[in-house]
Amino acid sequence: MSGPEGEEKVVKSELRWALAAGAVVFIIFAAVLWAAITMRMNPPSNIEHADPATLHMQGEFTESNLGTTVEPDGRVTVRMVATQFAFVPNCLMVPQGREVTFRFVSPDVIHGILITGTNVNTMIVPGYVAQVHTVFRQSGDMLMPCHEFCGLGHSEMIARVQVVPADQFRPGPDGRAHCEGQTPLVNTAAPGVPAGDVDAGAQAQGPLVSGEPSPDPAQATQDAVAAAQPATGE
Amino acid sequence: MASPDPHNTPETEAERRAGRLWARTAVMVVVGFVAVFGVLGFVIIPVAQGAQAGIDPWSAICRAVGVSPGSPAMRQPVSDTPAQPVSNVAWTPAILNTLSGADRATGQRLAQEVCSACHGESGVSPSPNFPHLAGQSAAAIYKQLHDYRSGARFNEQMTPVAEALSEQELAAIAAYYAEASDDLRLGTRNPLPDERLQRLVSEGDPSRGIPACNACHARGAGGPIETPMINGQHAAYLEAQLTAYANGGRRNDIYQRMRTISAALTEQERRELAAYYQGTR
Repeated sequence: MSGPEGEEKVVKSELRWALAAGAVVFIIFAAVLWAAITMRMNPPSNIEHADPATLHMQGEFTESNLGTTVEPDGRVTVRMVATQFAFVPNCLMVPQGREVTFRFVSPDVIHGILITGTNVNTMIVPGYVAQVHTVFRQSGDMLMPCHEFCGLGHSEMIARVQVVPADQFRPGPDGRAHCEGQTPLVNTAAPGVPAGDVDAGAQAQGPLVSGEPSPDPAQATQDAVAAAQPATGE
Repeated sequence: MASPDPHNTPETEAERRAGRLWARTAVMVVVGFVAVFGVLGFVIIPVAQGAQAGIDPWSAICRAVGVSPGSPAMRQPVSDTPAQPVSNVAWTPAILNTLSGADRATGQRLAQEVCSACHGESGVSPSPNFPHLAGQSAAAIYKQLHDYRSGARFNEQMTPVAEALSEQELAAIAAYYAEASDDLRLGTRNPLPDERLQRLVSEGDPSRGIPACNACHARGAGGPIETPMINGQHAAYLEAQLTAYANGGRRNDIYQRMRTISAALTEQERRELAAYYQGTR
């Protein structure tokens, strides 16, 4: 192939392939755009700082604030600390079919989580809040292992996620929900006062669900939403 | 240059003009591409997403750019729950510098005056009720003294002692005992009674959520900085602490690390582990 005729052919062929490649790129961008606007899908990015040295002393990641909380506006937020070598709390109860926001922090090294059978998967980098929004489609017990090597105890660092049908999800009057058999992470007694001789066995059993189960969960949700009206969310 | 090389002929004016046009076009395409997708990604998509989630356009743009936390598509959870810290020790660089620069001579003097009656002349305690301090990590001693002082941990004898000392003095004592020789602590090696206990020590028990003891407590293992060395410690003291963690009598362990583990262990395991560690070096 030589001469002006051959060159013309080459240019034409190049243009055709460039159009084909351009069309593929266009389709991908269109799909991203469509997913972003109609399904509100975004890359899981969140720039939010959290000082690892003082996590346990101030703000939302102190011990008693961890776990599943139903916010006044009815949304479910899970706060969790990944530390060497455990998740705190080590079991979570979340409702099926409702939007759940996970907020993870680490006070020590880089950890990571994934919840088996779902696409919840993130790294937890000290200094930042890792945030994931999800909706659980299936109920059941799922495992949540640490998937970023964090030290000698890494292989024992596994939490459980109990996804229960929405009508069985009964947060207590304080909006908190705990796993069955989980001791709530609440430290209400004044510091420094020994709790006395509590039977270890009884402590491990703990209350099944925090507080009184509300007689009608739908009503409880309704109340929570109503209570949220005066509060300004954003 | 008899035969002109097609790649090395001087450019004509027309060719130069074509080259400039091509360069301009290329720059405009690249700038246009960045601008279009910048506007799409940082303005149009976030504003459209924010409108669906009830977020005002300006906040949505700030979130997409990364100036403020959260996603433009989701309402950001807020928490105004008051903090209830279990310990007021924060491992900031300032505290670590205080510990590493602490005056050991002052520490030795204070140790003789205040600590030696119970914890022994050199930090090797004669009574199983009082822990050995010699060779303990400075961070561990400092953390416990600080917790006694702040009320996070309570003990009838230790709380008033710690309350009477200043921050610098706590650091000095911690630094002194960290350097003190723990040669006298070597106990008789207690063999592990069975394989099950050996697994707890070196591998943990994932089914009960128990990490290996040695993942944090072995020398140089890593883990939280305040983790104490428990090798050669009095078994009675270790068992008492494990029991206190299990029943909630002691709860100054940050993020329930030891309360969770102790509550998952049986009473017999706590006793056997304590006896095992007394005999380790």
